[in-house]
Amino acid sequence: MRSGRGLPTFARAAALLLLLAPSACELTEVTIADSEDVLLAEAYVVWAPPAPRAAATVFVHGTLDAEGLLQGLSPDLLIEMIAEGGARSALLEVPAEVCVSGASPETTPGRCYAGALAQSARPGTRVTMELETVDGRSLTGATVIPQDFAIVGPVADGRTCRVPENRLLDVMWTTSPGAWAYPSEASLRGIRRALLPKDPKFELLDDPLVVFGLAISDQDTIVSFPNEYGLFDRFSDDVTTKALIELQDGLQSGISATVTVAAADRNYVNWQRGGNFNPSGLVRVPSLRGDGTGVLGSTVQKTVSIEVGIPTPATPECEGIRFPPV
Amino acid sequence: MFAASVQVRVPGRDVPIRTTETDRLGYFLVEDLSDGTYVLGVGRLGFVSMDVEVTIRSAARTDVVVRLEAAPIELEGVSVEAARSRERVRFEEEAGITSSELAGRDIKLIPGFAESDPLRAVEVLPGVISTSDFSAAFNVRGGSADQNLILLDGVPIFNPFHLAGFFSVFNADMLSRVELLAGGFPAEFGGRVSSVLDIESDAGTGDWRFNGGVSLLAARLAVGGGAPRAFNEKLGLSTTRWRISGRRSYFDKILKPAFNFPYHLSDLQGVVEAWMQGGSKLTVSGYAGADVVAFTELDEDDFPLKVDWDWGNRVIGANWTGPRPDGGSLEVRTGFSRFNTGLRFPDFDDVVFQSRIDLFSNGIDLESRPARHWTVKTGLKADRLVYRNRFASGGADFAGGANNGWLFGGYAQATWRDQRKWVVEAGVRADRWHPADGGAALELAPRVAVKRFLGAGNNTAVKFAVGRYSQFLHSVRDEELPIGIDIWVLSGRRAPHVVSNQVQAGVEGYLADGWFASVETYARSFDGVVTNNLAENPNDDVDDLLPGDGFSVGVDLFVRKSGPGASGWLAVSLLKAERTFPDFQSGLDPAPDLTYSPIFDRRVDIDLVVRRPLGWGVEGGFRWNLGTGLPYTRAVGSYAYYQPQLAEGGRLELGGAVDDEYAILLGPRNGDRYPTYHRLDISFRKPMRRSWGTLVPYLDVLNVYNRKNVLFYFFEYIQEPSTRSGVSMFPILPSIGIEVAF
Repeated sequence: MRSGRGLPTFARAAALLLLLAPSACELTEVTIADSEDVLLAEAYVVWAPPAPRAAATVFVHGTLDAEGLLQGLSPDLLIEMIAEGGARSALLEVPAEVCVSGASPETTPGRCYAGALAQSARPGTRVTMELETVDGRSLTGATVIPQDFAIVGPVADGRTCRVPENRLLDVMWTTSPGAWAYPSEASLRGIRRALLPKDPKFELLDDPLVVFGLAISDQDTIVSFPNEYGLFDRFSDDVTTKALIELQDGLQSGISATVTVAAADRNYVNWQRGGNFNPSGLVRVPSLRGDGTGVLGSTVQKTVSIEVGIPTPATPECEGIRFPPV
Repeated sequence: MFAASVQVRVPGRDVPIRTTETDRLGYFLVEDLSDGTYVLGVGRLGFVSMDVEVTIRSAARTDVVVRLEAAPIELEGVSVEAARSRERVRFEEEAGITSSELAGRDIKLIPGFAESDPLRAVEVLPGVISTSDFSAAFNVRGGSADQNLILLDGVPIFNPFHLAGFFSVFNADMLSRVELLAGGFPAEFGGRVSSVLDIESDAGTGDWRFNGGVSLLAARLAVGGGAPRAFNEKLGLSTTRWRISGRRSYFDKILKPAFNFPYHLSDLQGVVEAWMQGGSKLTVSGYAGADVVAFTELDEDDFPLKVDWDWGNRVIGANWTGPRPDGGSLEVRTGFSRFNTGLRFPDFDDVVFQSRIDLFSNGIDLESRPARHWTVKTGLKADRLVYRNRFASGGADFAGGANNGWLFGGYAQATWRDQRKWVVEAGVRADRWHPADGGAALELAPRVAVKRFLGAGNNTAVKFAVGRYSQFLHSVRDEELPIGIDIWVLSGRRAPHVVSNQVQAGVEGYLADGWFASVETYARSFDGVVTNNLAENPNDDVDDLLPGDGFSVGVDLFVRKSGPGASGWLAVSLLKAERTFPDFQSGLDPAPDLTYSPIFDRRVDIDLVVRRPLGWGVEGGFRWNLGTGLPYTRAVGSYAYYQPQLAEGGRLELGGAVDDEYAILLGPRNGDRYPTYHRLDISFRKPMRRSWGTLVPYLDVLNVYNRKNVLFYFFEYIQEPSTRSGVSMFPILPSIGIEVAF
C-alpha cells in the first residue's frame, strides 16, 4: 500500500524541484565502499476465500551487492510459518515469478518460497515466521492476520454487476476490526480502446490499467469507483494522468473491472508507506528482525467484478450508482 | 518620541555619564544623579538633535520636555548610534536578557538573496544558525525553528516566508529595527521557548517620503506621510504618522509574452502611529502577503497535471500605550494573525491539502515604579488559537487534525536596580491552556536574573538568569527538508506542550572606542517536543505525533565594533544539541527511544560581519560564515523496491507507483556529518544624492568563492563501484538592484 507516499512524496518532490532549480550544482561524484550484504525478506500472508487456507509467499533477496549471499541461500534455507497453537508450515522454493511479476534470474535476483499455512492460521490470529540460512543467519517476525470482512456493495464478494457508462458507484465493505488500512486495486480492461477516440495518446496507455484506491483506518470502508482510484498515479506519466481525469466521470463503454479490496495489517502498512525522508531513496519501516530486515505482512482479500453495460439476470445492476458531480 | 537616545553629560564634557532611551511613549528616566547642572543630549534618526541644560535638586523630581524637529533624512552614510541604544538600555536596566539588535542599515549591508532580508540577517547573530542556504528559517541555541516567536509590531506571525522558506515576508524598507532576544527572558515574555524576534515597522517621520526598489526578485514601493493638522486637531491628536508599502515579484509579468511563469508573490504592509495630546500613543499595523504557484496556467503539453498552490499571512494589530504619573505605562493591545495554505487540483476535486492557523491575541501590561529603584510590571493576556489541517486524496485522509483553545497568561515581575551596581529581576508567569480537544494545562514559570556591574564606569557586567518557559503549539514540518512550510498544531490530546528549563550566565561589556564584547554560556532542556510518527496507527487518532525531549548546551561569544569607519562583529557559537524520540523507524511496538543530534546541531558556527566605506561613496558589506558539518543519516545499502499487487495475480512488482526501483537501508540516525560549511558574501551600495532624492544601486554577491557547500548527499549502490554524489547549496550568486528614496 502506498498510503504514506503519495502526497508527501509529491510535496517533497515539488520542494526539491524548487530547491534544485536555482542551485543546479552537482557535487563531484566520489567512489565509496560497497554496502554490506544485508538479507531481506518480503513475506506476505494472504487470506483470500474461496481458497480454503491462508497462503504465504516469501521473496528473499538482499542488498544490491549481495549476489553471493543469495547464492548460498538455497537449498538449505528454512522458512517456517507458525500458526497460533504452534502448527508449523515449511515453505518450499518455487520459481521466482510466483512471487514477482515478470521475474527472471537476470533482472530479479532472489528466491521465492511459498506454501499454504495450517488450518488454524485464520483471520484474527497471529502468525510467526522463522527464517534460517545455512550460514546461521536468521530473521523472525510476526503478524496478526486482519479480521475477516465482506464486500457489500456494489455487489457481494465474488459476484459481478453492471453499471451504465459515465456513472460512479461506491465500493463498500464491512469493517475488519484492527486493520490499519484497506488498499484496493482495480484492474481496468478495455480501457485503451474505450478512451482512444478521445485522444490518440491513449494508444500508449497500459491495458489492463491497474489503479490503486485506498481507505485508511478500519472505520473507512468505502471508496468511490472509479474516480477515487489511481490516486498515486495522478502524478505519473502524461497519458495515465489523462486517463485518470477521464475516470472522474465514470467508466466508458467497453471497460470491465476487477476490484480487489484488502484489509491490511500494521506490518504491511508500515512497509509500504515508508519512513523518514532521505534524499538517497525510499525508506521502509521493517517488521522482520535479526540478521537482516524485511516485512511480514498479512491481508484478507475480497474481489468483485464490474462491467459497463445493461444488467442481465446473471449480472445484475450494481448498487449505489450515481451521476458524477457537475 | 520612541527610541530616541538620551545622554546625560556634565557641561563641558563630551563623554556621557548616563545613557538611556525613550520608551514607547517618549518617556525617559535617569536616576541617581547628584545635585547640579547637566546637559541632556537627545537625538533620533530623522530629527535634529538637541542639547538641553537641566538643573537637578535632591529630593525633587525634575520633569523635562524636549521636542525634536524633523530633519531631512539621510539614508546612507549616517552614523546610526541611536539605533544601538536599545541594546545599551537593556544592558543597563535589565538583568538577564540576551539581546542583539539589527538596525535597518545593518540589514541592508548584510548581503541577501536578491534583496535585503531581515530574517536572513538574523543568522549572523550569536547563537543563531541556519541549516540551509535555501531557507530563511533559523534555530536559536538548540531550539527548533518553531520555538522562535516572531513578532511584527507585537503580533505573532506564523511561517513568515516566501517561496517555501527562501526568504522572509519582511520588506526591509518598512522596518525600523529587528531585535533578537535569545534567552534569559523575563516573565513578561511567553508563548515560545527558544527566542523572540521582535520586528518593528517604521512609521516614518510624518513627512512625505517615498522609498522604492527593484531587485532581481521583486519591485517594491513604500510611501509615508503624516495626517494634516486639521485632522489631528479634530481627533485630539498631536501628530499622526503612517507608512504603507507594496511588493510584488514580476517574473510572471515580464515573461508572459514568452511563456507563463507559474509563480508570483505579493506583500502589502502598513503602519499608522497616532500620538494623543496627553502623551499616549495608538499604533495600528497590518500585513497581507501571498505566494501563488499556478501550474494551471501552464501549457497542458508542458505540464499536464493542473495544480494551484498558494500560501500567505494576514496580520493586523493595534496597540494603545498611555503614560502613568509615576513614570510607568499602561499598554493595551489586540491582534489577529493567520497563516493559510492550500493546494488544489482542479481535475481531481477529492484532493484536499489545506493548513490554517489563526491567532486572536489580546493583552494588557501595566508598568509602575512604586518606589525608587523599583519597577514592577504585571500583565494579562488572552489568546484564542484555532488550527485546521487536512491532507486527503482519493477519499482517504492521510493526515490532519483540528483543535482550538484559549491561552490565558498572567505575570508579575519586579526589578530592583541599585545605582548601576546591581540589577535583580524576579518574576513568575502563569499560563493556562484550555484546548477544546484535550485536558487543560497550567504552567507556572518562575524566572530570576541577576546582573552585577563591574569596573570603573560600570561598563562591564556579569549576569545570570534561570527560568522556565512553555509553549502550546508546534510546527510538524520536517526540519530535515531544507525548505518547506510550517504546518502548525496545538497542544492537546494529540500533542503535549513544551516546557523548557533554561539557565545561562555570562559577562558583557562596553569597551573603549566603540567595542562591545559578550560571552554567555547556557543549558536548556526541552520536554514535550514532537516529531511526526511515520509509523502511526491509523486507528489511533492521537499517535500521529510522538512526544520527546531534548537538551542543548553552548557558549556564545560576540565582539562588535561600532562607530564611524569600519564596523561589524564577530559571533562565535558553540552548541551541542540532542533530541530523544521513540524510534518509529525500528518497526517495534512500542518503539524504543532513540537519542540523536538534530539537523540544527552545528557544533561551531562563526560569523564575521564587516561594513566599511570603500571610497567614492561606496559602502561595502562583508559576511563570512563558517559552520562545522550538520548531521545527516547516511544510506548504507540499497535494495530492489518491490510493491505488492492485489490485482493481476497478487504478486510483487518491481518499482512502486513513483517508479522508484530501489529502496535504501539507513545507518544510525544523523550519525554522519556533512563537511564544514563556509561562505563569503559581499555587498556594495553606492548612494547617489540627487536634487529630487537619493538613488542607491547595489550589488550583492553570495558565495563569492563558489564554495560547494553540501545540501544533500546521494548514495548510490546500484552501480559498480558504489558512489556518493550530491548537490550543493548556493553557487556563486550575484544579484543587483536599485533603491530610490525621496
